[in-house]
Amino acid sequence: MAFSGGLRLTDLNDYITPGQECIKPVEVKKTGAASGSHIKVSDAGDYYEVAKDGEETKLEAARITLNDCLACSGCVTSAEAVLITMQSHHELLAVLEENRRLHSQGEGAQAKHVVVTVAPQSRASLALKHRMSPLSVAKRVTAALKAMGVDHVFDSAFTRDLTLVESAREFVERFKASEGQVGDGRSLPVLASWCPGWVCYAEKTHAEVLPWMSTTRSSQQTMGAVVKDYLAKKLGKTPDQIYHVTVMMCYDKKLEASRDDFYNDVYKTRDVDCVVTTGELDRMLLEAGMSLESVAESGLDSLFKVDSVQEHLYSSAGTSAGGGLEYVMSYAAHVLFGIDISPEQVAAAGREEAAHPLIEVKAVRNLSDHREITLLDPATLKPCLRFAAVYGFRHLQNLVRKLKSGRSVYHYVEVAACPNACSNGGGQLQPEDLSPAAKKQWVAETERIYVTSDAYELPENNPALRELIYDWFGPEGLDSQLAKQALHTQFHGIVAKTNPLGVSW
Amino acid sequence: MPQLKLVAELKGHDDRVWQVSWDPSGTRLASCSGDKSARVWSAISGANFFASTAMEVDGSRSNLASTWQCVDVIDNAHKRTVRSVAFEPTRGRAIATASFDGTTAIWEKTDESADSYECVATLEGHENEAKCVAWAPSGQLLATCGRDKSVWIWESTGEGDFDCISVLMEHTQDVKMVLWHPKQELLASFSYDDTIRIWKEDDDDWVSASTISGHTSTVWAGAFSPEGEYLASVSDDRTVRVWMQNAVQENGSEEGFYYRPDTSYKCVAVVPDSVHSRAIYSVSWCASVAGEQSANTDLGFLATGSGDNSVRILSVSRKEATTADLDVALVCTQENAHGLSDINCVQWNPKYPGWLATSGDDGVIRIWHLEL
Repeated sequence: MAFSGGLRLTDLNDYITPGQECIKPVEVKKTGAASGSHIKVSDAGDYYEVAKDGEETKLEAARITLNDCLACSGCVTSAEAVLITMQSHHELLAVLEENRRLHSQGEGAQAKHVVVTVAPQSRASLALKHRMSPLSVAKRVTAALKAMGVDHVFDSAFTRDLTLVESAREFVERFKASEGQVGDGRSLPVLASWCPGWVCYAEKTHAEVLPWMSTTRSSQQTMGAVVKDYLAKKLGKTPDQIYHVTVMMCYDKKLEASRDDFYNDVYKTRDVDCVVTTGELDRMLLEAGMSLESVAESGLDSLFKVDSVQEHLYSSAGTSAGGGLEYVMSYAAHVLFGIDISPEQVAAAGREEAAHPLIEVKAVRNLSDHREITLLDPATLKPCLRFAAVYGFRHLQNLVRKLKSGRSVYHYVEVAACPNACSNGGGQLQPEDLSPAAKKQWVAETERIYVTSDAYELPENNPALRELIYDWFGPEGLDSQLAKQALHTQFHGIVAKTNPLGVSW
Repeated sequence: MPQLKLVAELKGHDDRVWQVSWDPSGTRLASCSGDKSARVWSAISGANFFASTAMEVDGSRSNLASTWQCVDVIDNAHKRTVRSVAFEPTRGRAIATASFDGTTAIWEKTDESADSYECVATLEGHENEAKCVAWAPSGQLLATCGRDKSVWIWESTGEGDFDCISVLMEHTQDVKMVLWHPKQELLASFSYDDTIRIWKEDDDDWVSASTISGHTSTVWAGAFSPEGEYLASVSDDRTVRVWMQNAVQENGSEEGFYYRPDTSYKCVAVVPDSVHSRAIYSVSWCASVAGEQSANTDLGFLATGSGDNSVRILSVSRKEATTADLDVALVCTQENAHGLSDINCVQWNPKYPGWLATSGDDGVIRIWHLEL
């Protein structure tokens, strides 16, 4: 304590200056008006800037909306919670209610066409909680939602097939372009980008890795494109006449849906209007008096990854992360090296269930959350494809550090922000016993339900998918311009602006 | 009359010195400062410096400044204040520094004759100011903590680099300090949320084993007793508290009390807030000074550094066998140890008992000898 206590206080290191937490750069647009102006508050509470000549211009309130939010733990974290609850099942109920009202008043033409897409990981969580098979869950959820007024219930596993094929094609193209070399200035490694938690974190803190992100859209956003573009045309409606809701495993998917890249300027509508978590769907059905146990099963809709007789739900081989790693490895092995190996074989080797002579699996820290899967050349038994699965914040750190220092050797990395990937999503259903051991068991069970399937079907063998591709994109199929635009996206790094108040020490 | 005798003064930093760390041999000291640098100081006469207690040290200005020299300045990495510095405890080859710029850097001299320290790794991840870095006694694990309320645990990969193995986010406020247990793989963290947390390894991840509450304000620092059975903590509430694991009536084992990380902790001693007149920022625990007291009852000495400009020495001893409580008594007070400046750090020499290094807001490091 020195002589003047008062002077010292401002030097305290824990003093947090205002605004230093939120890293969203606030742009102040200078209007260029040289002289000062007055601010007037109207009776209605609006702010007007009164210039010298008396002209009033209404000032826009500075707002932070969900698509500004980067989900950093800085900011007014409570505000993020508020923003996210704005996109909840109440919104869907409001739209359905509005539709009912319009129909009853004979204005049915103005009603929105409501489409709900359900993720397979959400189905697995519901299956565990309600003790039934995922197929049964699918049929009952379809029945319940349609009874509430929803027009179509689709399966994101269907469009996931599309994204798997497209990301595999992207990988092969990038691999060829960089001749298999990894690192700075190269197009390898390819980092999976379907996880919005990972994308938000990378954009905010590690913009240097953005050039390596896969540009292929996630299955949620691909379904958004299918519904608002392809389905809209088929139904003869404009994109804003369709209300698209997805049921997903986490809250970060809400942030993904709100991104500007997925906003249609022309029709002022988003590809995905509302994201509801598994927990919110469960609550919504319960509140509507329709618990899954009590609802009768109904037939499934068209965009569903199911066999023609609707007896088996197909799955994609791989973890609840979506099967990207397994499919891309299988596809690349075939196209680049002429090696025939199926995604199921890669998945089984990865789980250490069935070893394969050409696949080497190494648990870097933890078999489920941080493992390397390497494909060996059959002639030389030397690695020709080095892939890795990295789930969870702490493992992600090490990946990023290696990437930044140029020491990463992987060609493809499947990245998920949550340990155990999507089975452990923030919006999934929870067990009754919330002790750490019980939760771990619950997540493992959810993963097991997700992974065990009656059958696997390769995307290329899905006739409905082929039909959709050629119908939507024309004879050029996935090579067409439209496909490139509809199935890909971009990333934007954030440059944090330093607050001038805070930097002396 | 017990007193702290000033033996050496180390000047060179241009701003307040936040922390000092002894190397395992006890003959070198690392310090870090608001001037964005870290410095390494060495006793010119090496281990002989500590033998000089037998000789008269006249304490004149020239003598104080001539026994230690600054041998290295590390100033080319951090962009802001270096808040914490730590010598690697097994061989003293590497030094870790943690800075307000959010990064932690690991420095090594590639070989003995090398001119200066080279940065071999930069550990990023904290969202804002990093407040402390600590090496585990094995030298294989590192812990860092910061204003972003998190504690990070890193493991050495063997090639000078570190991998993050855990990010622990259970504190609700700024974490001020992290500290490893001297004998077991346990980590303690001290926070602005008034609690201390003990962390242990579970499977392949780290989890919170206990939360110790009791302080009524920010817990600034802590120190384990040399054998690890007790934890002393100091706080903004001006008290020093000593903790021990609860429910201990063990089957009269020879080793006495020992830490079991799953149980809760109880407070076995409190130095009341009348002793220190301002916040206490640092504490260090030294085993008995050679030749003093019998080994059975004496648990050594605590040194505290406070915002009231004083360094205090407190003796710790067990009471009778019927109670777990301890006796903590004030032995001596060195007022204005750094003039009219806060004392930021006090550290007992790990090799030479009774020798204390202190650093303060005046930018000076002082070395004292406890004379009982």
